[in-house]
Amino acid sequence: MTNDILIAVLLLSPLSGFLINGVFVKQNNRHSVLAGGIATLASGISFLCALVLFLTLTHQGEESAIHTAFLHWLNVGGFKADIAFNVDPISGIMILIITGVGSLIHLYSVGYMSHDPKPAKFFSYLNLFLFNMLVLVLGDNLLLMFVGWEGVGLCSYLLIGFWYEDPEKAAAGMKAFVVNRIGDAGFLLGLFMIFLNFHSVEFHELSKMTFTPEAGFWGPITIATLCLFIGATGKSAQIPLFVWLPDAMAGPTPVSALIHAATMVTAGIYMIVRLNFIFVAAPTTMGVIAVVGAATALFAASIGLFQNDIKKILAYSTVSQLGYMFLGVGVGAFSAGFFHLMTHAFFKALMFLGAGSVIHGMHHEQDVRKMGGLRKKMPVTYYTFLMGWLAIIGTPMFSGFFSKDEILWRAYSSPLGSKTLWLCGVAGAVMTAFYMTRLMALTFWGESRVDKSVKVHESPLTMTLPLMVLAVLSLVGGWVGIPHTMGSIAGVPNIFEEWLHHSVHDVEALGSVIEEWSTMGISVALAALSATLAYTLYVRSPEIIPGLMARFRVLHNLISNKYYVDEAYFKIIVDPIVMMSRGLWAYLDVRVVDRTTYLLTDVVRGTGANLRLMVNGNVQQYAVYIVFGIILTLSFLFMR
Amino acid sequence: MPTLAESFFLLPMTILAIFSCIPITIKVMRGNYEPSNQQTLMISVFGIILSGAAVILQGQGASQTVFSGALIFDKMAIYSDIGILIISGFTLFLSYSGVNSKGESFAEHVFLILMSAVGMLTMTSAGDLIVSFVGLEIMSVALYVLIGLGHEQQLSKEAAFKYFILGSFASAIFLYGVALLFGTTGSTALSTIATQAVVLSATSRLFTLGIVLLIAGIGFKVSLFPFHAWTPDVYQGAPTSISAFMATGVKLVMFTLLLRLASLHILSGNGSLIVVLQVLAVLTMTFGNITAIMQDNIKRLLAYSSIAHAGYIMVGIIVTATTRNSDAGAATLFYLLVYSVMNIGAFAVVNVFEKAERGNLSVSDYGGLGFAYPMLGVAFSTFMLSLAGIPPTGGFIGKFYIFAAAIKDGYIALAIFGVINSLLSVYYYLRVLIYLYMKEQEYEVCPTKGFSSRFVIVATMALILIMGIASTPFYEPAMKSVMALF
Repeated sequence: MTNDILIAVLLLSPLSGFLINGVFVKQNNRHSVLAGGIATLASGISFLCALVLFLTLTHQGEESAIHTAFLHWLNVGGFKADIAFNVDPISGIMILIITGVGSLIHLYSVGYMSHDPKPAKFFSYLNLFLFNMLVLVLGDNLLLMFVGWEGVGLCSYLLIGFWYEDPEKAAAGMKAFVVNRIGDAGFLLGLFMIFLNFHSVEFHELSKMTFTPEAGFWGPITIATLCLFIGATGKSAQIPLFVWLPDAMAGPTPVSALIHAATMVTAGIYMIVRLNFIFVAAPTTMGVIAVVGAATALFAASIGLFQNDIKKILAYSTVSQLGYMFLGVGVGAFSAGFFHLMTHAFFKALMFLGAGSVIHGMHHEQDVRKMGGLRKKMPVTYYTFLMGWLAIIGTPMFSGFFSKDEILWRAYSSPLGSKTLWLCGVAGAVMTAFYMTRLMALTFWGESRVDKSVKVHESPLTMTLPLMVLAVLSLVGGWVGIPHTMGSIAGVPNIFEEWLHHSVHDVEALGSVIEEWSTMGISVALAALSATLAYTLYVRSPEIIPGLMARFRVLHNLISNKYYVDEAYFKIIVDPIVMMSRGLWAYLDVRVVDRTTYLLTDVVRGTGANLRLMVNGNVQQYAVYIVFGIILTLSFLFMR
Repeated sequence: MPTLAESFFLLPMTILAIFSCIPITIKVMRGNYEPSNQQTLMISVFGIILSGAAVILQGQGASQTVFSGALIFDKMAIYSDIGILIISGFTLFLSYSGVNSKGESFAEHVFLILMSAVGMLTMTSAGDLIVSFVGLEIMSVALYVLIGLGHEQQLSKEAAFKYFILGSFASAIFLYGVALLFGTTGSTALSTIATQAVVLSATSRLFTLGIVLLIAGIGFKVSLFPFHAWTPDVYQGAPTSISAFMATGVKLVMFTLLLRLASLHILSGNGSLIVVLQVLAVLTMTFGNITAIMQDNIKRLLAYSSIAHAGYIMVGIIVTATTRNSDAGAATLFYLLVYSVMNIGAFAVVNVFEKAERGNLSVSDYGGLGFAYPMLGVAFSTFMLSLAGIPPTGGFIGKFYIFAAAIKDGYIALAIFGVINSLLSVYYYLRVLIYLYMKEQEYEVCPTKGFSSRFVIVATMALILIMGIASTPFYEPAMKSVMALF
């Protein structure tokens, strides 16, 4: 009973925050602290509920879960979906991340949006997002998950296009929405396939079924899971649907941190981990996921090498890190992928917020070429960002090290993995170290290239406090998941894996301890080398760079133009569709459909005009209708 | 002999009757100096709440038949009773805002509305056709006066007179039907009639005549084609709150009676009668929708829309009459509730915009109001979408259940006609939305101030959305109450 109330409050708190800010708080800048306070409070209450639920969960024994059914929602011809929520080890961690990181970002936004003319609108969207995200992770059936899935998509669209007066930003929002629709269609098809084959969409029923692994492409499980994976590529920005995420940086930076780094974009991973028992039964799908993940990790990291917008670099980095997570779940290391989801939420949210702090301090300058030497001007931002950098490049003992390394080791050793996948991962890690160091170098180190007219200032406490908390988490967040090989030396257990042990069925790794240590050594050494190289190039001797760029002009152009993916999509897909719909509109719609409907309306309206004469206010006539009605009825009945 | 315990079942009606008298009694006792309208409203609402509590108390126990079968208190009666009390409550709020804005006396309205509700409560529980008739007359007589109380002098009096003349005519027909049924079966008790219905439908023409007259009498009140012609005139002329009351409360009880007849298989003995009813249902919805397209006056439009909806509900009744399955019956009850709530909401919005000096608004007067009054605009749009049967509103779920039940029992043609008609209706419902949001405001239309109409609007809108998203709390009781009938 208490748990029911806790779950209800957990969900309803952000929803009421959305309603209060959306309906009652006036849209003007003077109310920014009020609106932000309400939203942060709503999110904080949610966090407390999530914390209590999580603690309750740890006190319950193994295989524990808190299940609450509020309402019977749909019950049509065997298709059953309740409004029911489930807190289990997987969703328990998710709600902690969502509400915890979410609350920090809400707090941060109070400072960040202090100059915005429509703060109430912003915070109401942010709360609505939180609500939908919680529905997504807590929903006990695929349909409810889909409701949240669509809801977060909507909020993402609204927030990317939050400054919709700028057509470019509005277009970015639209792009995100349209690309996500493609993925969503895949998700829906997957949902239907699962219902068709297993006659249920409820997780707790599905998890009790046994799925026999099937080979090839055309088995029902494989097709269903592939469709679901298409949904995941849309939401989690994987090849080929990753194009929307870099553009999504048009939204306010806290949005990028919350939605496009820490939570929403991980929904695809979450969905696969949630349905891991189905996915393992489709080795072909798993292969596809691993390959797509590895390819995305490598591909996006390479684009990140030469971007100049601080948020774009982080965006490609996010795409790349999401690729790692997919690589992890694709080789059957669900808990490793999920672990990386968590650590990434910490350090990437931190880096986005740090970038936001820089942008705020630089008065909306996002080009890293116009920064430099910010270390002294923004010390808190610098030192916290440093932690994020150390974590993402995989410095030993930082959170990113444990999670990324676990994924790489599994890619190497799992029966579903291969040396090639591992190589791709390592290459991606090397590039990550390079572009992240480049970002640090251009932003914080070296000489200042800041325009003299810009007065750089450190951000207020509401913004730096979340940074500090996340910086600590970026360091220690990984300590819950120290791999056995290392942990056994210090006598530390892998808490994270044990926690998920009963809900997630990892594919066992094969391989010796020596292999594990040496692969780890190789990737760390290569990353360190790459970071040093970037440091040398961008801090020590930046004069070499123009020469290098001239020598590799073709390659550089190709990469800095993002391999012309957007242009290709427009040429191959968008333009033909626009052409075709123009033609259909001009010929089919105007000439055939419109004319037919006009004809129909004319007929109906004509009939109506005549029929209304029947009712002319004459009482005797009305009485006659009644009598005729009775007489006609009787004559019909008695004539037969 | 009626016992004291049996009298307990009369509590809801007794409470309402007593409370209906309190305001006018005070008025008389204090020498025509009546309590303020607000106090009167509070007294009457308190009465409704008490009566509702009594109904719910009864609903806890098992079904009861009291007074030697004259009154039945089963789950369906309870379900409809709660519907009636909610409708009456909303009507009181609407009436209050209409009366109060002109500084008129409210005590008479309260008396008449609550008395009418007493008649309705009697009808839903009637186990005997004579009791039905008594309830029908209590309800109707109060309504005749209420319609004439409208401020729109000429139209209102004309409407009252028309409704009175035709209503008496219909009552006479109904009574004649009862007499014939009594003549052929030797009883007016529904249970006795039901046992003989199958045999008599085949052998006795008088029995069939009785049934047809009964249906004609009921058909008049629910405005079934061709007994519908009074509807637009009366709805237009009556005070808006009373139009809402008639469009919802009266139809709810009359259809409940019809549903009772249907569930007892009194209607289904004669196959041809079912054919006739199907034809009438289709004609009703088609006529209602096509004529509504040509209406400019919003109240006439809603009147025709209510005619069309009577056709949809008839589909549910027909399926119930011929099946042993409770789906259709539950769908009908649920749809009645949804229909009542969305119609009251729509009339409430009309009530707010209705200006004293200009009387009824035409659809074009709503131009641009969606932006000028966002809350009212959203509410009105919600009601229109619900009436048109578009998700996520209750109107969609209601239609879905009815047509699904029809298809399940093989009435595919009926379902197709229903869906085509829903399509037709979208034309005029959306026309209102077009005026609300896509046309310019032609001249100043100010909504009346005051909380009461707005309360009704917000409450009905919330209900409609809840019914559209989570229909179970409303559908399951309907299902249970119908399952008890079979």
